[in-house]
Amino acid sequence: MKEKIVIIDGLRSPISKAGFELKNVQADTLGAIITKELVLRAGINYDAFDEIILGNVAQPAHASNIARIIAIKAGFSQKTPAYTVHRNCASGMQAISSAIEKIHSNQGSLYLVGGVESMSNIPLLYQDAYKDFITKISYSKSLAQKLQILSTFKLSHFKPVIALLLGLNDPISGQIMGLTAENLANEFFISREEQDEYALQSHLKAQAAQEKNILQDEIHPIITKETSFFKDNGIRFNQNMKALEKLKPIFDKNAGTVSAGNSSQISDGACMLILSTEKKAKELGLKILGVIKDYAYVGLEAKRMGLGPIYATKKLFDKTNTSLKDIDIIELNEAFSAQSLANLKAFASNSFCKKTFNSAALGEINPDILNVNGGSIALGHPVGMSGARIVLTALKQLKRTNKKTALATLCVGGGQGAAFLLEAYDE
Amino acid sequence: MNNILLSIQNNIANLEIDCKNEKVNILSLEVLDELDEKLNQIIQNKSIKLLLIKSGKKSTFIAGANIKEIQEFKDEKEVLGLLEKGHSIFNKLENLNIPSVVYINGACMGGGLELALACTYRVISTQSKLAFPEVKLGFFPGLGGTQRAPKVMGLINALDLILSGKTIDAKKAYRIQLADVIFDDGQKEFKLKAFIKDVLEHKIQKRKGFSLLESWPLREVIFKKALKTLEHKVNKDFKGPYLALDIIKKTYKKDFQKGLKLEAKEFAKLAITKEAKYMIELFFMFEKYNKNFTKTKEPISKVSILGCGVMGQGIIWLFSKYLKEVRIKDISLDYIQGALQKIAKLYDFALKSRSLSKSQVDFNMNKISYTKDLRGMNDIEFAIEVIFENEEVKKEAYKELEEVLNSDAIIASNTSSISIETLSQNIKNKKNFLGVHFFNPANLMPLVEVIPSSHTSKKTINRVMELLISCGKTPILVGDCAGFVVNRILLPYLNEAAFILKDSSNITQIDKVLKDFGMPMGPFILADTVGIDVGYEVSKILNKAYGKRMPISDILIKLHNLKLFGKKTQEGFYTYEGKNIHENKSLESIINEKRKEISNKEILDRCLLIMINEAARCLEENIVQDANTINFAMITGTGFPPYKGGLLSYANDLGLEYIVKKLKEFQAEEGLRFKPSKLLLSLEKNNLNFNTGEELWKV
Repeated sequence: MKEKIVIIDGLRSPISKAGFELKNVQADTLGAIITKELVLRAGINYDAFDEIILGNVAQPAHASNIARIIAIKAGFSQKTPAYTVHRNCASGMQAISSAIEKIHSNQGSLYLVGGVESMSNIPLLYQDAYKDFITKISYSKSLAQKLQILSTFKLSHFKPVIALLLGLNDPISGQIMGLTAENLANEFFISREEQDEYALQSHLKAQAAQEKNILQDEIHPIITKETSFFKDNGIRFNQNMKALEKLKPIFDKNAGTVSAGNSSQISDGACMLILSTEKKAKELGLKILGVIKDYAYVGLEAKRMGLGPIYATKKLFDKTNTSLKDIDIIELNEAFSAQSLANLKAFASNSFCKKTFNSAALGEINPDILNVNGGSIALGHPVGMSGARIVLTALKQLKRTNKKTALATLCVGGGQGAAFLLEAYDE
Repeated sequence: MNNILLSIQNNIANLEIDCKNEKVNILSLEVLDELDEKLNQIIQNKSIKLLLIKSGKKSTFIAGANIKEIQEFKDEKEVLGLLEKGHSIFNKLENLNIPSVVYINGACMGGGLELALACTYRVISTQSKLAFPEVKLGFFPGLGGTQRAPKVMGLINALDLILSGKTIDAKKAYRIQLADVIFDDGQKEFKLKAFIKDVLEHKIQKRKGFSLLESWPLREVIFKKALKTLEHKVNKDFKGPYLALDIIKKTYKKDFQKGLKLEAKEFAKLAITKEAKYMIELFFMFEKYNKNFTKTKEPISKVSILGCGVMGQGIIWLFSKYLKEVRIKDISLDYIQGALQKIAKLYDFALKSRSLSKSQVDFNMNKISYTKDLRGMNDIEFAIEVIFENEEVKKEAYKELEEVLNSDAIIASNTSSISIETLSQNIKNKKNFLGVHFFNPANLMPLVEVIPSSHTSKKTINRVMELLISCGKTPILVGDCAGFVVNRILLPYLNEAAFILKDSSNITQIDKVLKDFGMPMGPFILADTVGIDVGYEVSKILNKAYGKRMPISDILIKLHNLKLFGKKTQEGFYTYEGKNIHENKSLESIINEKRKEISNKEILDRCLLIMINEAARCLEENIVQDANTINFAMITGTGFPPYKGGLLSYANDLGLEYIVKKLKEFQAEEGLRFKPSKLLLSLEKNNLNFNTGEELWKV
């Protein structure tokens, strides 16, 4: 029989808009602060961990295999192995499922998993032409050769390539992420107004949660010599439709509907979880936060990548014999309003489900159980972190509200979807 | 005998230095004699083509001369004779008809480096550390170092090494041409052989010469600059480096043998001075106190600091440098960023001196975590409270700590004045509680006072001693009393300066008298640096504990009431505007208008004798067991001039008769605070002093 997989506890940083409070904190430091705090609070000896597995998309050049750097910075011994996983926006989830696979293949029983991203620190790149120029100079031998190559220099060499934009561009569909959201808005007949209204709700829910300090038990402030950062700063307090309406579409400037206001934010943040088996947790005398029942990943057309959640959820439900009415809490990552709304429509649509899965509709999602404390539109979407964050926040919300089952799902750039089935732990 | 092995293979003489029954090689008189004998054998053997000198120890070449021997020197003639003998041996080595190669793998200090300089070639492993540490002991290199170093590495580099006493690594040694070749010890088999082959085949190429600056007359600039740097860093009474500079200046590029003679003459004069003996004594005291613990299986590596003010920052920095886990607990997280900025600043020194790399600093900073509640403290082994001097607040903190820490964990207070016995009243696990008093700035000051209560266990004391020593501190064990040792003795001094100021003299003069005496700074600038508020609070506690003999001076009270706290408020005894420091004119209204004349001698006596008197009481009450502990504490805790041997050695030299006489005079004029202590009186009566009269206070 398979071991019961549990999450002991988790912790995240507050999320900052890229270029703001966390702009001078590198991803490895960000990850290390949260990791250390989580391990210390859990009171588990560092050496009890089998491995550290972390998701990260834009691995910083100064910290390749960032999981290893974070582990050592956080206080793990050099004897503890660590590796980094990458599945775009699902990287934080991939870290979780990689650890589960390891447990199921008897590789270990206690893992530090999670995700981290500092989108502020994604570098600007030089153009290939300039790279060639530099290489040629360093290989040239005589002064004459050097001068000859120097004479080929052009000012345009200095025009930077923004790696962040490259990263958000999907080479498979040839579209930037925002345009894939436009695709879904058109396919599912989603208006600009609907999208803005959805974004507004995200901000209002996040605002209410922050005002009531609901997320306090999952957030640890980031304090370094550069910053002192306590609360998610992406929430626009008292956001309103008027302000949202004013924003111009940014991906399809003339014909589009997706604006900065109804898209998720580019952000910095880290989220860590301690993952183990029920047996091991009991052995160590640890309190359990919740259970990971199962998970599923799917692939789909890259230009409809935003539909990842319904594809993945359908697969997960079939596999676990679950239906939507079993679910008490849903965290559906808000990459874009249009993308989220498309999923909600698809969940409820008999024709979509018939055509796609040859089944009845999965059902209508109750807005009262969806992203109850706000989603990535208000909080931000540090790509490597989000997967871990929605698992953590869903588990904590189950505990807060004394509910049983939760679904955490997200879409993945390049045309994938991921879904996790979570349960409160019953002593 | 048998400290040096000579073996001959393939016409190469191998000298292996391996001091018997010693962990490291020391260049004692015995070793020098053996070296002489072996050199004679080598000279006689005409088949030998090359001499290779190396060490039989794993990680030292030669750790220096035998300091004990220097301490025992009695007169100048004796020293001179020995130095001349040493010189003749090194000359013999230098003037061999065959090339000599020294392989240095590990510590190569003082005399060891001078030996290496007498060889033709120096091959240095990258594991090596080299230095002329003599100036740190108040000397200078006396076995030809002042003569050979400039020849080998050039004037600028030689002055830098000799005058600073700093340690360099192999890379630096290669850059300054001290090393002819460097490599990792793992490459020795191949690279040392290859180098020797090259030497035998005359294939070693000369390296390029030294800076143009070293040629006459430009070198005068170098000497001037060296003197200026020295004057900036070292008190004039600290003669070693000044003499070294003078010798090099007089002898550089002149007759070598005459140079050696001058070096020997000056060294001999210096070696028998009281100052030199005191410096050596201090060295041995450091050694003694740094061994004052038994190694445990699991040394403390996870600590928590409660409070992140200035003192806390220094301690956090220290622990983050040496330990694994450093958790700050403060009532609010609002001050953490500021504290981390200050701690990062402390690391800047290490970055500048390249003793730590940027990523090492980064990793050290990441050891620091922060909490405002007491979560995540389960594994903490040592928690030190560095919160303001309030008994109730401290006691409350211990109560909370005891709830979360496990039963083995140690709780310490960094109180500077509250009795440890009092603080331990409500603690459940009293055997694990004690005082650990750091000095400001905690990152620099080596001294820590460790104060057990009557319940503190030996095990706890030992674990804390081990912790502090492993973090590079030198702790001393002292008894529980208000102010412990250093503050109890120092505060009367600060107050006395203010009492003098009330009726006579002026701020600048008083500060100058004590600075000239050798204190690192005068009492007023010290008070401003420490903070008038802090000085006042401690004075209050001492006054409460010791009554009339420790009154608080009016001036201090007034400054405190006016909230002129010194440097932190830009105004105290002085005013501080950027780099401009002036006497605070607004004090004129506080001091007596009728000014009395006072001599510098009188100022000095009043400030120092009041300390000596209080130090005697510390012995009388057995707060410390021996006078040397007080000497050590005052040197390392307050910067009392080390070459004067510390407060009580100074008292011995001054004569107890004089001290008692002056104290009685001062008592008649100034009152009770000068009343000679019982111990002082009975020492004087019995014609004993702090060196000879131990039986009068030891139980």
